[in-house]
Amino acid sequence: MSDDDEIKRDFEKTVTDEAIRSLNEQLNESTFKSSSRILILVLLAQARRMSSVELRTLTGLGKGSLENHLNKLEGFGFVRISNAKSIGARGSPRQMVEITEKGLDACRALVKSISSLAL
Amino acid sequence: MMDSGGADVSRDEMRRAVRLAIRLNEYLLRRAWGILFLAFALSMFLSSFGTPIIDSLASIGVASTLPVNLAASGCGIIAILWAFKRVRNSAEITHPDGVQAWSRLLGYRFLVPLWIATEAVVILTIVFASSRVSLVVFLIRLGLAVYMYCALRLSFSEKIPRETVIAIGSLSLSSIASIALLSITASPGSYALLWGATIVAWIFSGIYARTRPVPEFEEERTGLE
Repeated sequence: MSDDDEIKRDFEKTVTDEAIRSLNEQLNESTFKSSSRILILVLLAQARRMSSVELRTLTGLGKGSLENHLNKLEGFGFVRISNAKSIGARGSPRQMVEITEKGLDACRALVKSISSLAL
Repeated sequence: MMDSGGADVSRDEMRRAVRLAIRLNEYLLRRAWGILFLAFALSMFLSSFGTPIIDSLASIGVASTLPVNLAASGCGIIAILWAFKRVRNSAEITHPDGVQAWSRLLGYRFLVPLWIATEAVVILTIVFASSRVSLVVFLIRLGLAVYMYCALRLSFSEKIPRETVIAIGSLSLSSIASIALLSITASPGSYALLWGATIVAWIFSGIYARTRPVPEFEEERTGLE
């Protein structure tokens, strides 16, 4: 085996070890102890801002369950929840959920470590 | 999907949740592309038929070309900026390594100057070489089809949806056919037929994309908590 192959193998092993370590850290993070929260967070990371109705439709979660997850995510500082006046809905407030920079960072790290281990 | 709050999640479940989120977001992107297709159908209609319609109502000649052309391309650029922002946000998460260059090419800092430059080329052609305007417009449309195809590849991890193939395919074909027709001085009816069909294809693609139901993804959802 050539030196190049050996260096490449060592590099790949280091990257994989780092990814496994990073993923293990995230597995211990309480935000990621629910796959529904992971789903919500990654969805929000891509769209940046969604209404809770959209989130409910996409995730298939019930109203109470979604609220519970959103409250936890807000508690961790990963999302911001606000009430926006929606047009055409007789002025009733529509709940909007927006990902924060902290949430984006957490999501990037999660997706990166999962991708390193071949999604 | 069950909710079990703080239960531990395995690596496999984590992976499936991320994959499901990416695929659900692709559904949202598909809807966003639908809006883009409808806006572009309007833009192409204004660009292809706006001036002849205005001229038939009140003959004002070349004076109507400029505002109609600006309205048409303005409609297109607004739709592109809106939809591509979503593509960029998604790509930042799904393609973390290769997104930097793309982000620039899909962002307003690149698109707005490009649009201004394109408009300048069209206006200068109208003023100095009016016989070449059609060729310039068709070449721009062909370039647009290539650019949109690249953005589509970035939007979808697997196959690109069939309505997008119809839209981009019809735009490319019509542009190439129109450039070919220019060399044989075809009648205006040929262009009207060609671009009329393209506009219909884009309206169809837009409506089709907007009316897709939320996908089930049973396999990915199974076991998620």
